[in-house]
Amino acid sequence: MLHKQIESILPLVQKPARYTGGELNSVVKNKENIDIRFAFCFPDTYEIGMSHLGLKILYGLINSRENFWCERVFAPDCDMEEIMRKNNIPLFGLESHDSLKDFDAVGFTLQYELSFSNVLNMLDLAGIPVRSKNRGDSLSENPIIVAGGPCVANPEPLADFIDCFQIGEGEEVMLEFLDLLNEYKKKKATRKEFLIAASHIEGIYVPALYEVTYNEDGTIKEFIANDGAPQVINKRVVSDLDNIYYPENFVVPFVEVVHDRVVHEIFRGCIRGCRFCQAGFWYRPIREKSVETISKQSQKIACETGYDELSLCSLSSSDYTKITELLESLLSWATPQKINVALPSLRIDNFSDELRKKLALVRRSGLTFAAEAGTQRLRNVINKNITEDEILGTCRKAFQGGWTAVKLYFMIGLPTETDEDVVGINELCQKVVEEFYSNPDKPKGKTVSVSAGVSSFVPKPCTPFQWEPQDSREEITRKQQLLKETVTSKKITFRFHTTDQIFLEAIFARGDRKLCDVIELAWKNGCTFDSWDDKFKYDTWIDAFKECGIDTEFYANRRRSYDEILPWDHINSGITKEFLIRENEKAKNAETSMHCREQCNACGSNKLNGGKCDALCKNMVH
Amino acid sequence: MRSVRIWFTKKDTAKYISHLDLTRCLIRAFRRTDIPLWYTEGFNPHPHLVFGLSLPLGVEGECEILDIRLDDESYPNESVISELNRVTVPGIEFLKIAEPQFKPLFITSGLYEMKLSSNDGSNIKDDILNKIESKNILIYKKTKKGEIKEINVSEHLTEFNIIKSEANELHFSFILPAGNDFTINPILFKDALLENFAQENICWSIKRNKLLLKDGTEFR
Repeated sequence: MLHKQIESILPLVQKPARYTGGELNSVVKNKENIDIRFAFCFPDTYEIGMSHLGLKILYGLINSRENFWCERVFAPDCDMEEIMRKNNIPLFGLESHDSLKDFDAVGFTLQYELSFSNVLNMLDLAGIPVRSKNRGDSLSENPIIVAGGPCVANPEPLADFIDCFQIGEGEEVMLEFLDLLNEYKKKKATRKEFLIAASHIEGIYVPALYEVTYNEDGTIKEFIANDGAPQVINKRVVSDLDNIYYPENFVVPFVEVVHDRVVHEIFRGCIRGCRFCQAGFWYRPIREKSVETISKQSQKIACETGYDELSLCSLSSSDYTKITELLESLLSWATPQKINVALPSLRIDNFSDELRKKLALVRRSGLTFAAEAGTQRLRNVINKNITEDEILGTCRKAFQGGWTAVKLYFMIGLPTETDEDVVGINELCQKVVEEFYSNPDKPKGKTVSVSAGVSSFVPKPCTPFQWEPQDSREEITRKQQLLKETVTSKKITFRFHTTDQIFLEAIFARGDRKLCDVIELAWKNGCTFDSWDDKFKYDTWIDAFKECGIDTEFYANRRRSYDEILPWDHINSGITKEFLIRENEKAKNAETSMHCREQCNACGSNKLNGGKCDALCKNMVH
Repeated sequence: MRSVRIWFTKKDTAKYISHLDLTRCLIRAFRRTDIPLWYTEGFNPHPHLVFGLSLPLGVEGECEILDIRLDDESYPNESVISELNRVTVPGIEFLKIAEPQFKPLFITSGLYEMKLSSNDGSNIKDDILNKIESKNILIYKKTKKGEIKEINVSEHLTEFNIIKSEANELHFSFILPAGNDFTINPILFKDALLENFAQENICWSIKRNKLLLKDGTEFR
């Protein structure tokens, strides 16, 4: 049952079913029998957070332990927040409707930098002090605040707000962490005692135990570990995807969420090594899940949820070694049950005839390719190893198969980019249009539509481009304008990302602890939901930087030298600096690297997995 | 293929499920059972679901109606109910199943029950009863053309019966038009009754107990 106070405000807000809980497969336990209560927070709205696979996995995992109870929490939409603040209703867990303050630990997943202000806002809505140092001495006074997700590749901009970060994959470290918390809670230990003990769990980073000193030019001088905390924090890697926990069901939302379907992760890591892509390096080494496990587990979830769509998820689905066998296995039960199988993240170069036919058996979805750059030279720089012939060849096949709409993704502002590369984006789109009209079997009476999404490059930690400057906002705007002016065909439409948000993202991605003050000030001045175009307050952010005396260009537009101590150097993703430098140098010469199955490039990531990498084994078998 | 009519409740947190979301929720519920639901033929097969009359968001229902078609005519009625109750969500309970007697477009009104109470102890009863007696309870409805139309609820309100009455609490039942041609949303009625009070200070619940035909008998 809902608390009376919450009940009285629900009729006043948009889509109240986002705040009621009670969805199919949501887990309600008797709190009398619970040792540790954990609140999994996604710092964005319900519709976005409920689409996140990591939430489904960790929710199921924690709840699989009898004495633990994990609840879900999302950022309330603006109308709900206003009413909650007005009526002094603290942020609550969806399952129990209890205030977050009643929990033992509150965990945030950091999927994108522009959700940082929402983390502070959610803590504040719960009545929890936003700064770690103000949370008291005892474990009972406030929950332990933890955070994970890909943004912890550089956790420093949130160092003053989060008690401990979980670096890497959560399936194992989460339970080790909660077991330890349970032990320390029972012996009534202080927060500090617990945090020091937690820092010895592999993959746990307690930022308060470290001291950072700076040089006069603002770069880092030294990073000192105190209280016996490790100097380097290793990313956690799950070794065997077939034998690690995977949920048997998903919570099925009432309201429509962004990804409302069965999702199955088929492998982790990526063999490709596109030099701009953080995920491609961060999630290494390559680990594949077997066809049998994926098929069996997906069927179970489909049964338990009633979903009519199954989507495979990975960084590059067609690089799964047994993709055809997998699709056959899935379709054998999915088709009779009227379940549509979707296969996103296809790479353009190995989109084979065979695969195309398999996919044609199920309902047709759109055709999307990430070409990333307009010219071959620039594609070589970023190591996107596809040629124009391959792109056009794939489009030709798609057009022959009846497709008439193609979506292409590009980036501008990539390292070494010239105006020729920018104009090349339109030229490539134009060639795709021409390919359609030169096709004798083209669908009669139909026209082609090429839609190009053009985002801007953000240099990210843990990539070969981590030392590179981002183009200035003026330069990005100029390049966007240049591209717009070159378009002559009505069949081509461009969609651009706003430069303001990209700029902020670049600052946070490679930021240090000095940004904590800025984030707190901007949030106090009303910044939340920064990833939402209509809620993003660029001017408020810029004012906050000025007031804190922070030079934004130092973070976004400065080229770092290889010997500079980077804010995230103490986070060991497994990928070595030597490898990243090698790749950066090759990029400067527009030299490509082979993908991991052709040749191991010695990125180093397998060391965190006992030397194992599925790309390597597969190579040795052949 | 055979058509059947199913009665179900939509209460507690389920009252916050919008009509569109309810459709999706029930289709998924059927998909979790072995009920042989009939699917439309064609390129994009989908099940055929027809609702008696949608409920406004936030209003509970004791007798919601859903018509479906079964592919396998021999599939027992009792199994439909037991299967659905096996997989359902909190607040939605499947009550009975029968052959449809009337078409949903014959529904003309609904029998409702409303409970109003003030959180701060203020007297709401007198104000509300005065309004009822004044025979002048105005609500404003947007027509399909986008015009705002004034309606006096008193002209359509029948069978107003007080169930419980205290200074800060009023519990009553009533009949209002509900159907294909003309509907008065009971929430608008509630808002008009409470126009002199701040929304946050009021607890309310509205429940639709029956759907009625023109002659006042229950729709079945």
